[in-house]
Amino acid sequence: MSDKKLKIEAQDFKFSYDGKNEILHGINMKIKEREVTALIGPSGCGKSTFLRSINRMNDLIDTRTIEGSIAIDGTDVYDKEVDVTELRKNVGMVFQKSNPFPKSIFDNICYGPRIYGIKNKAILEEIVETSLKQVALWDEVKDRLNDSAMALSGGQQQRLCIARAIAIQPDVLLMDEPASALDPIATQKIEELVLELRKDYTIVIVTHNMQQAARISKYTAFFYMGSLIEFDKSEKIFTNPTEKQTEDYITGRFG
Amino acid sequence: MKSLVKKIKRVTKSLLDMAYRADEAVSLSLKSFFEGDTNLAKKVIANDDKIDILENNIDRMCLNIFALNQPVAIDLRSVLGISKIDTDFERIGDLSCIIAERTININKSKTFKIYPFDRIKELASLVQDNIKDTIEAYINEDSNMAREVIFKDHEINRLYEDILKAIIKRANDDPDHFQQYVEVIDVIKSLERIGDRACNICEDIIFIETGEIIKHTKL
Repeated sequence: MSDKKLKIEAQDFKFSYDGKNEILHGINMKIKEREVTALIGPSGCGKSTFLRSINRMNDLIDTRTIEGSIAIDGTDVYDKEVDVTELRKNVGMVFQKSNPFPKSIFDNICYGPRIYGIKNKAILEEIVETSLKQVALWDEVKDRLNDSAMALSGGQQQRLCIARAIAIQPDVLLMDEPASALDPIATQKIEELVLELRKDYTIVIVTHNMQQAARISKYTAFFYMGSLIEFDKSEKIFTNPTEKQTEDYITGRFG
Repeated sequence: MKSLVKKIKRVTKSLLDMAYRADEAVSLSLKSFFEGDTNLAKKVIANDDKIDILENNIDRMCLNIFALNQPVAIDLRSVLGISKIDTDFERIGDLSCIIAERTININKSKTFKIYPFDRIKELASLVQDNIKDTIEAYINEDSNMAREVIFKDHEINRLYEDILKAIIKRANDDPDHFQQYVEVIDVIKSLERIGDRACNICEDIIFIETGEIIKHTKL
């Protein structure tokens, strides 16, 4: 599709939460490095399950079963050798509802780096400044870094969570409807931010807002009932999709 | 989202209304030309306002859909296509007015006879067929029929060139009616342009149905 390097590759990936009902029926998908890829589809189509499979967030469910593989840079994330903590350091995640820790703005950003052993105050301060600048929050909070993160507005909290995710310098950012609880201005800031971040990170984003997918992603994947129906450049998907099911969904003619 | 489907249906209906009026304008202007009917020609000119008003209404409806419904895929292509097609039908209306105006001028001469009458009739008939087929291709969402219209336009262009040469030759032999021959050249030029407008519309029909942009390519 483009000449960028392949970053994530799902091969015949199947998933079940309880070992009986298959939620994902053999997903094959190639995600390019440093591009934004949007996953769209109706509720229950498996897009979030797929997203969470990339950094093994679904491992928290004991009864889950998987088949096939999801490789990042050629290594299957489900390989026995893979250290899940290391994987999640490499693959950050941002959720629908902003979830800052009940700590100061400064400590929120430092939480990850400290876990990974960074103690030096000067280095931590630098990480905080760089991360907050990357999410365009620095100017708004630089004079109150010791205030509680809970005092920030919803949009600021979400940008803080993104800053926290990138503070540990991941390669991949997974976003699960990161702007669905925000007002249009905060949403726009998040979208602009995603477009900025794609220069450094491979971003996979789940969104119910199709216009948002169209605005910020280079590629769009349409999931339906646990299958990947169509995966193509966003401009193709939103102007002239190949599959009838995709067209029916994005034009609202479903069901 | 069903409201979007309703809105597209409504704007499509207006476009068809415009299409039939433009088609009628072409037919009546040609009838006035061939029969030397000045009153009918005046009627064509008077009716053109209605086509202009429809164009404005359709543009406004399309603008609203873009702003309020943000259409995608087939809906996007349909609305974008309609907002382009209406410009072509409006121009077809204007070109019919030119035929009507030239008819009024020609009729002032008591001695002039249209030349070459039969071949201009043939040209008129090809152009009118192409307009009718264009409208049918739009209604039936038929991109193959649209392609045929574009293909048939080559014949219109060839015939136009032949007639033009014949008129120029005749005008040299009949300098007393030079002014009238120039008016007739305007008529056949307008017909040829109406044919081109039908092709533009067909290109948009193909875009709506297939997503393929064939403008400025050889078919």
